[in-house]
Amino acid sequence: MSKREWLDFVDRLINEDEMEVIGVRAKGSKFQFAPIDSSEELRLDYNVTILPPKKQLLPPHEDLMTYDISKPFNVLSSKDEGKKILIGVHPYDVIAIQQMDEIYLGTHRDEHYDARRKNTLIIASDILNVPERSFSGSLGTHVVEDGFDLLITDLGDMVAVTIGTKEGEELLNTFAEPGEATDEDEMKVKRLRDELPAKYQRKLKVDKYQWEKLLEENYDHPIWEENSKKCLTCGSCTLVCPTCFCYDVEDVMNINMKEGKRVRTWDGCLLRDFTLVAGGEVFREDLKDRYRHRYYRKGLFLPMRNGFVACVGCGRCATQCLPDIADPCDVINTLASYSMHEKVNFPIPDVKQAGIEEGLLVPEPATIVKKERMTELETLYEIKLDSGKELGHKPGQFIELSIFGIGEAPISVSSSPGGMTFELLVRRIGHVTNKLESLEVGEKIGIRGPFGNGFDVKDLEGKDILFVSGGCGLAPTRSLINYVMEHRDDFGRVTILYGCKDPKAILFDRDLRSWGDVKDVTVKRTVDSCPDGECWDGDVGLITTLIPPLDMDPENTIGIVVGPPIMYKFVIKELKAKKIPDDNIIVSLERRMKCGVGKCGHCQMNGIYVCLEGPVFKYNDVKDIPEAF
Amino acid sequence: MKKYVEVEPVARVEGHGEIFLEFEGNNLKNVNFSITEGPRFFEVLVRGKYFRHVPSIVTRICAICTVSHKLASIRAIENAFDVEVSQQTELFRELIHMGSILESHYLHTYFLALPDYLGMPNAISLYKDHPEEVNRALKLKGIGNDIQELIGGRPIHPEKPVIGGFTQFPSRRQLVELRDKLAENVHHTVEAYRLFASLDYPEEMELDSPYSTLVSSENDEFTLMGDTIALDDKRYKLEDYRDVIKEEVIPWSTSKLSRNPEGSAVMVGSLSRLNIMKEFRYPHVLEAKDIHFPFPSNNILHNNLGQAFEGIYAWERAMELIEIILENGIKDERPVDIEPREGHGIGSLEVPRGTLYHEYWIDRKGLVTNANIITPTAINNLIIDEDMKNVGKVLSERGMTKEEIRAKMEMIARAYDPCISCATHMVKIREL
Amino acid sequence: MKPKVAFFDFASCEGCQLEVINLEEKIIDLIDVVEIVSFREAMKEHSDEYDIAFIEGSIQRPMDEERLKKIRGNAKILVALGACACIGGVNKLRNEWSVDNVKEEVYGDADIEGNKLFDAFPTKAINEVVDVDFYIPGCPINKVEFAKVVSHLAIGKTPQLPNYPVCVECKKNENICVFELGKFCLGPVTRAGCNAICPQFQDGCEGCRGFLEDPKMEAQKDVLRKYGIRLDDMMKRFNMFNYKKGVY
Repeated sequence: MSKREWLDFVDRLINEDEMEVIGVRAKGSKFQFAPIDSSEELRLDYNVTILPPKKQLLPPHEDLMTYDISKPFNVLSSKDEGKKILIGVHPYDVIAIQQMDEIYLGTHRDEHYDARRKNTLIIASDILNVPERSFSGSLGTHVVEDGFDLLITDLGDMVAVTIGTKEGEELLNTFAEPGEATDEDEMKVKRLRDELPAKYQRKLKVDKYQWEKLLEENYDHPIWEENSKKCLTCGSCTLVCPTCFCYDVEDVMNINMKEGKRVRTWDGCLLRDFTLVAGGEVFREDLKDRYRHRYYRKGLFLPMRNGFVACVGCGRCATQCLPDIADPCDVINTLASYSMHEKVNFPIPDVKQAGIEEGLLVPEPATIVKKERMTELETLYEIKLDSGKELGHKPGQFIELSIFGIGEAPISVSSSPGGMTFELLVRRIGHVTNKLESLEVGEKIGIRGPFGNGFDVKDLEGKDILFVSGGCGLAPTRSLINYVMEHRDDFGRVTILYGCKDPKAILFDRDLRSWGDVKDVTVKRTVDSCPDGECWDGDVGLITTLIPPLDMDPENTIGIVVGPPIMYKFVIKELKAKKIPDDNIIVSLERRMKCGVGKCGHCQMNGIYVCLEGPVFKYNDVKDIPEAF
Repeated sequence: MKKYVEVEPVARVEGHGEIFLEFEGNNLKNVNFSITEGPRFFEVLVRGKYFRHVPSIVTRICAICTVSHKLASIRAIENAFDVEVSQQTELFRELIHMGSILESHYLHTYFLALPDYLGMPNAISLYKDHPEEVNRALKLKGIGNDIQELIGGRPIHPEKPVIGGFTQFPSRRQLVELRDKLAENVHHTVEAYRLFASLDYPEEMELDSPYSTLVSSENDEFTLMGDTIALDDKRYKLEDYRDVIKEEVIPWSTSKLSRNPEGSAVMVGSLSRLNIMKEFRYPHVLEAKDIHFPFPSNNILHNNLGQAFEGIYAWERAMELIEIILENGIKDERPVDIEPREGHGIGSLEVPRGTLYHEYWIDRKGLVTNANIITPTAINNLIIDEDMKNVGKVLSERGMTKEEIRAKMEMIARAYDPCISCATHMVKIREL
Repeated sequence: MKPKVAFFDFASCEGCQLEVINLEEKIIDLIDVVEIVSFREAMKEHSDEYDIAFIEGSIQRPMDEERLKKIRGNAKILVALGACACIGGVNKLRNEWSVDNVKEEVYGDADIEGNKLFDAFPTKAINEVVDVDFYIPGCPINKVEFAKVVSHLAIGKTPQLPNYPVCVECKKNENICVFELGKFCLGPVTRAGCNAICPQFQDGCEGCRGFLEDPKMEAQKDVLRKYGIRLDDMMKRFNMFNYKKGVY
């Protein structure tokens, strides 16, 4: 169609009340996607927008739900249902949206993203001016064949339209009267696309299929240390990225203390608090690790998980990074020139997820039916879902516990599967857990889950089992121990070692004693120290001291180790000394589990999402993962 | 006979002030109005600072007059470099200034002064008895804030006004929305005036001093952007301001005190403005004038009534300014480029509480070498003090009790709307 | 029982309290949730019985110090309101000169010797005098953040400040980086929470919310040098709200 017809088409779309037209327009000397009032504002000659069109599908701030805490359980999911048309999306951004679709809709469909995506039509546009820092020409993301509803090519006096979907075709025919393209027109479009790669100033020395290998071989390359020294930790590189999808969630109360909302905001792995857990631990404290993680995630972990390099070469990160250390093109080219050739493996365990597929974000109402204080810090809660259904968990899985107005916290389930109620052992350590303490029996909380893989009980059958639990680690372990006790004949000898700080900190003492009464079950309790005057009938000393004297058949023994981060290294060393093969050691790890479904990114441990592939791992699967222990 | 001294922090004013009442028995012997706020020495703070950073520092003198200090310092520095700004910039500056007048006047009249007239302790109790008036006040003040926020970026310490212009202008759509909001609510300003016109203003609150304000050099029309100093009937050029006021330090107050070189106190503020400028042309302003218009007046309490009157003016002037801006079309102008050189400049403005003077000396590298800031409260400081002494004497002779006298004294203090945190940043005048 | 709340001010512009008043109709909601027992800018009554004390302004004189210690003694929770209270703010700029020097400049040879009203010492942030439980930074504070802190305190959640730089909010708002406009910005080392208000209006961040716990100062200086900003100018800007003698 002619340029005039194209502009008329756009103006008709703008005048249509049903939908909002978001186009590329100038913002000072830069460009952005924003509502346009007239086709004249549309700038198809743009190079790149400050933020990618992702913001229309996953906004920087998004209300997930609203609630009213003056009522028992009053929660409404808030979904954006407005229809939108994005005009002028460049091919690299179309590909980035396809990646986002894969992440948010491929598994564990995110209903908020889904609602927006379904209501959004994409009119893509071929690139007229190559952005200065872009290297999409080297990645093949400068052109696109699908993922759009319409694709337009501005040929000066003419605009060529490629139809991508039925919806796009319908839109075109409703609001315009396009003529048929001639062979000459098609040639012009082809020529424009073919000539593009030569216009790029920045080129990759290796193709995108080489990224994985390069990164595997350069985990300790000096570039990570050198560049991270210049890093401001401002997070800009991840925030402007069209393929970054990590998020954080926060509860915001109105000042009247009645209504509030749960808000999802963009987060980024360069920011320090990204891996911070309630206990105060930061799992990627060193800036070098954070800086490196971004590259590994984009170039190695996501390709391993999803089959694509999570970089489309738009160059936004490079443009926005003040010290200029965020450019993947620079970094990959450096690695290609000076490879260390020291291969590190980052295996991702293949785990069939037992979790939920729908309704991911809004918690179910549940009621506290029993509350029992265990220690100064820990309380055991018995919870019942208001739906009357069973939780349906496996031993070792966790749930996300919500208190509206405060937030969510991941808690392991401590009771064995089955039954109309389940138990949670909660240590008062953060906002949610502190608030929980003030709730009474009969009050409502929210539950999401269960999440995570849990222990594979079938795999344990017929084996001797050695449980090694430190502190709170007994909470998830108890779920499995109870299961084992309930199915005692399916398992061999059982040894339970439990250690905690001092006699006052002991958890589930009643259970420990009663398990000890069962046939062929040995229970040993130890405390790090016993202050004068305390009554204590167990051992004194670190939990590692309980292992050497044990009499066991190492080949047939499975060691299940759960405890604070510091404990693993020492306990595993002792188990190895007892000749238990690595394959027989199982651990459960703690990270900042937030979404529970491998999207928010907080719990990632190199390539592994602890909330999906974990928290239970075979030691063999993670022992070489640098970020595991 | 035993001396009885009362020291009372004045509530519901900006900043810390105290009134010292000295009684001998039941007879009032002496009154001192004192500003006790911690001294902040702003004149020194800007020394050696690059001229561009100065408006951002001095705007922190006072939050209620934040736009006033920003504009006065910007004008003074522009004056030092002989910078001419565009007409668009002038219009937007006056518009944000109207926003700050509205916010300040409606905050002061309703929440700080009105409870006195109605015999209530504070605005919260006012809300219990007169929710509709409080809601009206919140609306009027809120729209004043909306103007400041749209033009300045935020109501307190606005960032958009800079030396040479603005960093950013609002869009046409935003201005149209603002204009419509102003038009929809203009009647509230008249209703507010009606309320203040119905209040009782006791006659003993008469003061005796010359009035001063900035007036237009071109006509007698009421304005808040005057360029010439008026002291009653006399007119002075801006650079001759020392012929009108002169500062000195007084031992009972951290604020300096200004007086006329001839020795008398000078009053600035709404009362002065309405006593000197007498021509009006906006419809709602004229409507209010017909309701009740006691000006010229010597009753200090009429300063509050005057503020309610000026609220209508500022509202309608803001509407007019927006119309002019929309008619002209909004141009995407950048602030005027300035190359630093040696200079000296004065910037002055009629701000909510009266006339504000900023004066700077700048060296060739663009660093400030000296500064002088005279705020309205510093000017009124002496007249408040004298006024209290005079009225106190009258009241005491009439046999009023200590409690009654104290209440009246506080009412006087509040009638002047003293912005005490400003006044404490007073600086010495250097005779050059 | 509604928590009792009191507001106090020391040397400041009182913009932070004004920002509270600027909550407009939400003030009505606020007084439903808390009982305001002292707020000199808006009310006459005063009580020494309060749970939460909000303190605006910095400490300039021994008499301020005494008063603040008394407030600390009465309050269960003490919250610093705004740059002057949190970090000293612009008031600290005068610490570049000696007290006598400043007094002489401002008050000349007037007879103020021995008058306690004028008895100033170098400006202090309030945590240099008493323990502070929470901070609401900014010049002025942001009323949204104030409301958030109050609601957190009321619901029993520990208020937490963003622990990331202003750049994060700049990016979320799609601002043009002010460095690209040739201006100076402290955003990369300054604590976010202001919604990047200055860069949003194409002005550089002045650091009024204070620096991050772990600001990357060396990286910031590298960036400033790269953009041609001279060291002495850099120091002046670092010092505007975060004055520390000869530190940066």
